[in-house]
Amino acid sequence: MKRISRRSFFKAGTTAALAGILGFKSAPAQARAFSGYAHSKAVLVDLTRCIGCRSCEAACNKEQGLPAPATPFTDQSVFADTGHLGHRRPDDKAYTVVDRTDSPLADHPLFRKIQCNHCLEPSCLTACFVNAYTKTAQGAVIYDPSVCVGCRTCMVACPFSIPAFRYDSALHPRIMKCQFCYETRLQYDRPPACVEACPRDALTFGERESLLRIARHRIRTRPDEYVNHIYGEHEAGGTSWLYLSPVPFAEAGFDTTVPTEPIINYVKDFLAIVPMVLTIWPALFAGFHLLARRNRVHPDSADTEISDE
Amino acid sequence: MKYFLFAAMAISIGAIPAGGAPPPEDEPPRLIVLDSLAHFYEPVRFDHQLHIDYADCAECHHHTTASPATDPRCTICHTTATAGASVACRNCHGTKRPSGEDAAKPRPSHRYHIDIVSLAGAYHINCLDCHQAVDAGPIECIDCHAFTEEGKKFFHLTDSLLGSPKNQGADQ
Ligand code: SF4
Ligand code: SF4
Repeated sequence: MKRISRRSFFKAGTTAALAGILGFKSAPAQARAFSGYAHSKAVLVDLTRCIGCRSCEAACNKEQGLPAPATPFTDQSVFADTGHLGHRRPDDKAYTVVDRTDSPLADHPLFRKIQCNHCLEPSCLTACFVNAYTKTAQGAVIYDPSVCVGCRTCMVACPFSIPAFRYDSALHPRIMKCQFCYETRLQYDRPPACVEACPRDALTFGERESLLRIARHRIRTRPDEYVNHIYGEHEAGGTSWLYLSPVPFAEAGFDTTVPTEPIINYVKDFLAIVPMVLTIWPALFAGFHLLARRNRVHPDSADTEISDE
Repeated sequence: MKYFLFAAMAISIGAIPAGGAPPPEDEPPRLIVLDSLAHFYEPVRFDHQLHIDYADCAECHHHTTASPATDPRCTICHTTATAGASVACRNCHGTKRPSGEDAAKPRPSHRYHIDIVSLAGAYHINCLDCHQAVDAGPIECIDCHAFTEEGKKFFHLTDSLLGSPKNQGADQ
């Protein structure tokens, strides 16, 4: 994994600031047309196949060494006991959960596996000013706790509300979210643990382009079983996790208000300023301060004219 | 270690006819023990004879048993049915998960067959969907699967929960 030290962060910040001064566009502003790394990996989730067995949750728990669940992964009552939110969501103890929706349009309950969607242009990554996030060439959006300062901007930035915060230590802030099994599997081109655990092949792993082809093939050959839409093909600028559904996605519990433009396009101008604020301003104000002092000490010197320019 | 694993796989892959003397070559097996995927679960005893009584061969074996395919999506191409070299599910549905790479293969048969499910997928999709459609046969995981010790650990199952009335089917 690419590690970013605090020092290299400041180096990167300074470069961005200099680029800003010299009139170059900074990195976030260039990302507009990025449609993903070639051959990057993805997962296709087929809601018509998922039966809510939660094998994927158990596999994730084991692979990532997460804390033991409150009740066994065979417990089906979790689908009903969803608390005030009304649906299940990943948290600091579970990188992935399966949520149930009862739609009047389907004659059986619908199950939807939820985890980080590993956006092609992740807004968590863009929002993070210490560069704790990396989008790897294989498609994973991974997080490096060693540089995280715990500001939680990524939690606000994510259009799918995925990053969760582990509160047990104020000194070692830690965001908890799906890493696409990058360390143990994806970097060796192996599918994540959840995919291998699914008994119904509801999860298919492969190159994003191939999975889009398979998804279209399923829609074309079974038009009465799927709605004609692949969630994640364009949502949030495109994601590495893609979904097929038998009912309109809003009916299956998906947020269909997520814009198809990458989120960063809305905030990039602001975000481009953030490193500049952090790196130029101290120098700028120190300069003002020095110049002001100089003016006071040598009110009649030639330097005064220079500072007036 | 590698050799052992390979041997174990070779033994366990696919259907092993069980229950008394094996029927003659051309007779379908009466009972099939499905243990190719056993790891978290004990092997599943599948009553093949019962299904022969209820369903047409082609319902599960598509067109490989020489009875014509029933799915209209298949009959577009598979107009005639000749018996396949083998009718075992595992011949087409491998233990390896399907992946996007299947769609990228240049073989002509992959023009259409770009999306073949794995053995586990074939069992669980075929069995469950049919049981649901005809409203008969096991539906719940534990109706077919008794957990191994490994499986109990994987699902964080405690003995107290396994002993509850709802889960007793697991130990039958
Ligand atoms: S889903 Fe959220 S956490 Fe995951 S990559 Fe996208 S923005 Fe980041
Ligand atoms: S393992 Fe597969 S079928 Fe089971 S809940 Fe997860 S996605 Fe659904």
